Amino acid sequence: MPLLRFRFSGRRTAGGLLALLLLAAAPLPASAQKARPKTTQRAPAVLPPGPAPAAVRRFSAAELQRLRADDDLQYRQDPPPDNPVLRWFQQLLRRIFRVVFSPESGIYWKILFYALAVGALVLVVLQLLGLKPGEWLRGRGRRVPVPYALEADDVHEETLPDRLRAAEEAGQWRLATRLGYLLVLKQLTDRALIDWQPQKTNHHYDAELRQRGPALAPAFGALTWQFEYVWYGEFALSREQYAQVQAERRAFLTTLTTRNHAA
Amino acid sequence: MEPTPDHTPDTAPQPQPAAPAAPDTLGLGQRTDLSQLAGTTDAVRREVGRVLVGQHDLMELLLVALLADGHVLLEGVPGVAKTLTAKLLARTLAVPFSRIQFTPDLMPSDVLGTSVYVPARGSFEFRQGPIFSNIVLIDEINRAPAKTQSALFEVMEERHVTYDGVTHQLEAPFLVLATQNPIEQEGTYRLPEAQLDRFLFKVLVPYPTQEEEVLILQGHHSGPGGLPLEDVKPVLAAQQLAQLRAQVQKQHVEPRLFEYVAKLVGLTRTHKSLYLGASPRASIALLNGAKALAALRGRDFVTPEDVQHLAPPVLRHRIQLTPERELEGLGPDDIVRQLIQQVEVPR
Repeated sequence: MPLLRFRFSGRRTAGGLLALLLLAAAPLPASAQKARPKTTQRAPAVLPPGPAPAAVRRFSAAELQRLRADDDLQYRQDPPPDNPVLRWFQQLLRRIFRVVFSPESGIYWKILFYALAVGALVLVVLQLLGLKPGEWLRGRGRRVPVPYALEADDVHEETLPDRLRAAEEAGQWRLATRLGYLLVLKQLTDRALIDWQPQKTNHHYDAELRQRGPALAPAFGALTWQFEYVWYGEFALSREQYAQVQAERRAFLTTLTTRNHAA
Repeated sequence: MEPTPDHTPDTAPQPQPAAPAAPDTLGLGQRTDLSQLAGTTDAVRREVGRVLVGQHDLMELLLVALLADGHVLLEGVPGVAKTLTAKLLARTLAVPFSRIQFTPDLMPSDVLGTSVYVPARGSFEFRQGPIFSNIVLIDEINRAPAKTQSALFEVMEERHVTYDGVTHQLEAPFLVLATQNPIEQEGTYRLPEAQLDRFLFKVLVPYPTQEEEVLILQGHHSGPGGLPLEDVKPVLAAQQLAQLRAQVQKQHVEPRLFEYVAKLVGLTRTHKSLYLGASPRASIALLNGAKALAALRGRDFVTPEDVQHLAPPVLRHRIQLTPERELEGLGPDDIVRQLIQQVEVPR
């Protein structure tokens, strides 16, 4: 036997055997006792009779039919759409989600996807708030397009000199004063000394002329005063008074055409 | 300091105010003698200017309102001399003046008056409230709730008070100068639209410029007793004011300017950014204001410049923006500027 090959050394071997005996004789703890498998009981000598054969039960065909027809119990998934465009869109979405969320895809795809989703969400919220995104992005100080309805006396009208002449011949001095002033505005506009806009007042033009042709400003101020006094003030001026208005206007136009008035 | 228009179309460059003393090369002279009006209004400005530093645009609009027989609502942050300006203007007029401080617990009877039982007579007697005056300063009008504010409807428009079925007439002139802090300030109420419409102008009182503020500081530094408010003398009597108003009423208005005013105000009713447009009362206010402004600037006729200049103070409190536009940060003045740019000037 292989054990016999060990060399027993006196007292040590005797102590070890004593310890083993004591351990074997000591009582086991309660848990260990519970865990210990119980000894199997001896089988009775005669087996009891077996159970009766099970009766086969069958589903009620009517009940099955009712359950099949119940809408709440329809778990079948719809087949893919027949429309080829929808099917293509569905496949595209699947492919995108597969690419974005597959373990192999990089973090950049995910960032791009979430950025696009947030952008779309912001657009929807802006739209719901009535803040048209396009206008909002263009800024708050945008201008509403101005639907001008220019009247017959637009300063650029080509017939202005003819109408002025006709008014003078008819002795309509007040009207002639007005048309003459419009002619002055036209000449100033043609020389880019003022920017004609229908909504501007004469004093807007006066301010522009002070910047672009300051030498002309005093004479223009006098013409403006004459026009406003006669036209807005409903002043019925005489022939002599109109002659003075006409002379001043012609002098102004002559100065305008012969000199360089750039500031 | 030269007065400059505070609200003009945002087209550069901005126009200078109409020069009243343009060269009269034709010898047209003046059909209407406006010298008394000019002299009196200059005297009012001078007296007010002894105390008030700057605020020339504000003073011009107050004078226009005085000549046009309209009430004025002054709005500005605390400390920009709203109340002081109103008190100073009242002092320059030789008419009774009263001041009502609006508070959250103020009752209509505190303003209009109430019936008191007189035992000797065995009957009730109407005791007039502080509104029965010629110049009434309502300080912080938006501190009172709508109930008290609506007590002013009748008196501001019709110049009389009906109490217990009896109508009590107010003496002319009757001018309400009301001050208010912006409604964003805590403890304030929004004024009803019907009451806002009864104000000829809503004037925004700005901060002084740096130079003006230095002058204010110098004045306070030299005078230990504060501002010499009592030194301001009355220079305009009620009778005189009535004459000036009659003169303003006769100003020339070219027929197409009526259309211009009507178009401008009418656009507020169809503008897509507004859900409340201005009433015909606004058109009348704009016309009357323009006539007074023209007179103040030495003319006996109205120009489109006058109308454009007064459009913001006349319209800004009478229009209401849609919530979308308010969210975009637009204000009434932005819309008024757009309106001015949409209407062709009659010429």
